[in-house]
Amino acid sequence: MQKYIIQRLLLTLPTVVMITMLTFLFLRVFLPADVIDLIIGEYGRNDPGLRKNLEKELGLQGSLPKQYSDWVGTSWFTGGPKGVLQGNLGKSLHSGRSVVSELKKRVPVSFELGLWGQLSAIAIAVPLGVWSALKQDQLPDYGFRSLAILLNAVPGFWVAVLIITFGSIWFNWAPPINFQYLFDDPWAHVQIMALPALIIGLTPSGGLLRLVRTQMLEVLRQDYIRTAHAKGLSETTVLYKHALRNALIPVVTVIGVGLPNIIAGTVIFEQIFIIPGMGRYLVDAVNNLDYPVIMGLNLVFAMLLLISVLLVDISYAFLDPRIRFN
Amino acid sequence: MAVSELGGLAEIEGWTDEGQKSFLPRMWWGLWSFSKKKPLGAACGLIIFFFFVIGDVIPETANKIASVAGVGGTPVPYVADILADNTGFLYSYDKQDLRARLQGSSGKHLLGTDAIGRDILSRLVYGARTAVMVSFGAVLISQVIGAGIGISSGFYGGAYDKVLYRFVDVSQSLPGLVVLITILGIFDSGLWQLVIVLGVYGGPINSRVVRGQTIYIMASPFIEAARVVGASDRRIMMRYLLPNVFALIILSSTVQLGFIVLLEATLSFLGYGLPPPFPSWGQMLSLEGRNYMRTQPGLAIYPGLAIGLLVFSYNLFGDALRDVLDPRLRGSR
Repeated sequence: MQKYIIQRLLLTLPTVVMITMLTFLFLRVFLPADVIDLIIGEYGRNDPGLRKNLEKELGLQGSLPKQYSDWVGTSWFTGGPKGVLQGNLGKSLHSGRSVVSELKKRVPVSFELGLWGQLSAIAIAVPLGVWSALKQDQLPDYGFRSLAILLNAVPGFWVAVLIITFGSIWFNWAPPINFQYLFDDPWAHVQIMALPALIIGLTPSGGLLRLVRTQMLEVLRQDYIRTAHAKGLSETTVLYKHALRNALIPVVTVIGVGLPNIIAGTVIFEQIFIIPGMGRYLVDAVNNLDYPVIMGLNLVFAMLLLISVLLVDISYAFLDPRIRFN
Repeated sequence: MAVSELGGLAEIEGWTDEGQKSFLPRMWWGLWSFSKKKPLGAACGLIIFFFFVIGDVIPETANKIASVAGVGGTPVPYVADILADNTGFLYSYDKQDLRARLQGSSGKHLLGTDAIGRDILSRLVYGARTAVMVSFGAVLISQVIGAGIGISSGFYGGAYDKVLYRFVDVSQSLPGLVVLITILGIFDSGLWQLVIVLGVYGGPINSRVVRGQTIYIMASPFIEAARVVGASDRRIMMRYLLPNVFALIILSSTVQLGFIVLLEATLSFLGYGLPPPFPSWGQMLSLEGRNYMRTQPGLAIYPGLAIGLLVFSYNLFGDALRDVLDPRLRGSR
C-alpha cells in the first residue's frame, strides 16, 4: 500500500517538471516579446533603455535555462530570486498586484463553486441512475435515459442564459451582482452560488447518470447479490451495502477526474454570474496579455488536475482490496 | 524458396475480389439495414447529413485547400450562399436591415432579427458551418493523431512507448478549457485555428484507447503470421492493426463530435471563437447579445436549440452505431 502510493507519487514528478517547462516555453518564450512591444507602445516612444529596464523587471534577461531556473526557483538555492517553488508567481502586469495574493482570494471561490457543481451532479445522477437500473426497461428507465441524453446535449451556459432571460421577463428577477464572500455574508453568498452550482452540475450529471445505471445493472447481476438475497438480507441492505457500494467504484474515478475539469468549466459561469474566481481572472489576463497571471493560472489548474488524479488512484487502493494487497 | 515465389502476400491473405459485391451496393445495403435496426439513429444521421450540407463542409475544405496550394480558378460555391440568394427568407449572414431591429418572427424574418437587424435564421444557417466544420475537422485531426500515437506505441512498445506516453500523460493533465482559452486568446483565433487547436489538443487523449486495443491485438497469432511471411512494420500497422482498431476509432469519434461542438460553443460564447461578423451559435448567445434578450427572447432560444439538436443527433447516432458495430455492448446503456 505504502509502496504503491510512493510509486504513484514518484511517477507524478516528471509530469510536474514537464508541465512547468511547457508553461514556460509557451508563455514566457513565445509570448513576451509582444508584451514588451505592447507596454512600450503605451509609453509612445521606442526607447532602448526602457526596453532594457522592462526586460530586467520582467525577468526576461539572460539565457533561457537561467530564466527558467529563476522562474521555477531552483536558482534560489544558489542565491537567485524567489520562484514558483518558494511560492512566488510574479506580479500582474496589469494591476501590479502579486499573483499569489490574488489567487489566495480566487482559488477558494472557484474551488467551492466547482465542488458544489460536482455535488449537484452527484445528487442528480446517483438516485436517478439507481432508480433507472432498478426499473430497467420500464417507464422510469426510459424517462431518465432520455433525460440523461438531453442533459448531455444541452450546453450548461445556454440554460443559464435562458434562466436569466426568462427570469427577468416573467418574474423581473436578476441574479445578484455584488459578490459576497462566504465568511462575510453567508446567506447572500449562498444565494449567489446556488444557481450557478446547480447549472454546472447539469451537464456532467447526464453522463454520470448513464454510468451509475450501467454499473448498477452490472452489479445486480453478480453472484454475490444473489447470495445476499439468499441469506435473507433485507432489500435495502442488499441495495445499499452490497450493490451500490460496488457500483460506485468506477463512478468515484469519473467524479475525481472530472472535478478539475468542472472547476475549469466554471470559467464560463463566473463570467455569466459575475463571480470573482479563477475563471474571470484568466479571461481578464488573457485579454490583457498579462502573462505572469496566465502562467500562474495554467500552473495552478494543471496541479489541481494532477492532485485529483493522484487522489483518485490512491482512493482506488482503499476501495479495491486487490490493489491494496498487490 | 523466397516468399515472392508463393505468389505474394495478397494470395496468402486470400484477397480475392470475386464473391464480394462492389462498394456502392454494399454501402446502400448497409445503410438500409442500419436504418431498419435503428430508426432513431438513422433519423439522427439524416439530421447530421442536413447540417453537413448546410454547413458547407466540402466547399469550405476544398476552397481552403485550393487557397493554401495556390490553385486559382473559381471557388466552389457555398450551399448557404446559394440558399441566401435564391430563397425569399434567407439572407447573407451580415446583411443588416436597420429598420427591422429586434423584431419577433414574421414572414420576412422567420425567427426574427438581432440588435443590428440581421436575420436570426440566416445566421443560424451560416453558424452551422462553424459548428460542423470545427467538429468534423477537429475530430478528424485528433483521431489521426490518436491512431498514429496509439498504434505505433502499442506496436513498438519499450522505450518508445514509455517516452511517448510521458508526453501523453502531461497533455492529459493540462486543464482543457484553460489551455484552450490561453492559446486561442493569445494567438489569433479563426475557423481553421479552432479546427487545428482543438484537433491537436484531443489527439493524445484519443490515443489511449487505440493503444490498449493495439496491445491486445499484438498478441494474436495473425500478427505473428504476418511477421513470418515477412511483412514490414509499416505494413503490419497499416494493414493489420489499423483495420482492427478502426471500429473503435469510429466509435470514439462519434462521442467526440458532440463534445467538440459544446467546446466550440463555449469558447465562442466567451469570445475566443471566430472573429465577427461571421456567426457561430455560441457567439450568438454571448454576453453582448444579453442586453437585448429581454426584448427579443428568440436571441436566447434558437442558437441554443441548434447546438442542442446537433449534439443530440451526434450522440444518438453514435449510440446506434455502437450498438450495431459492437455487439458486446448491445443494449447495455
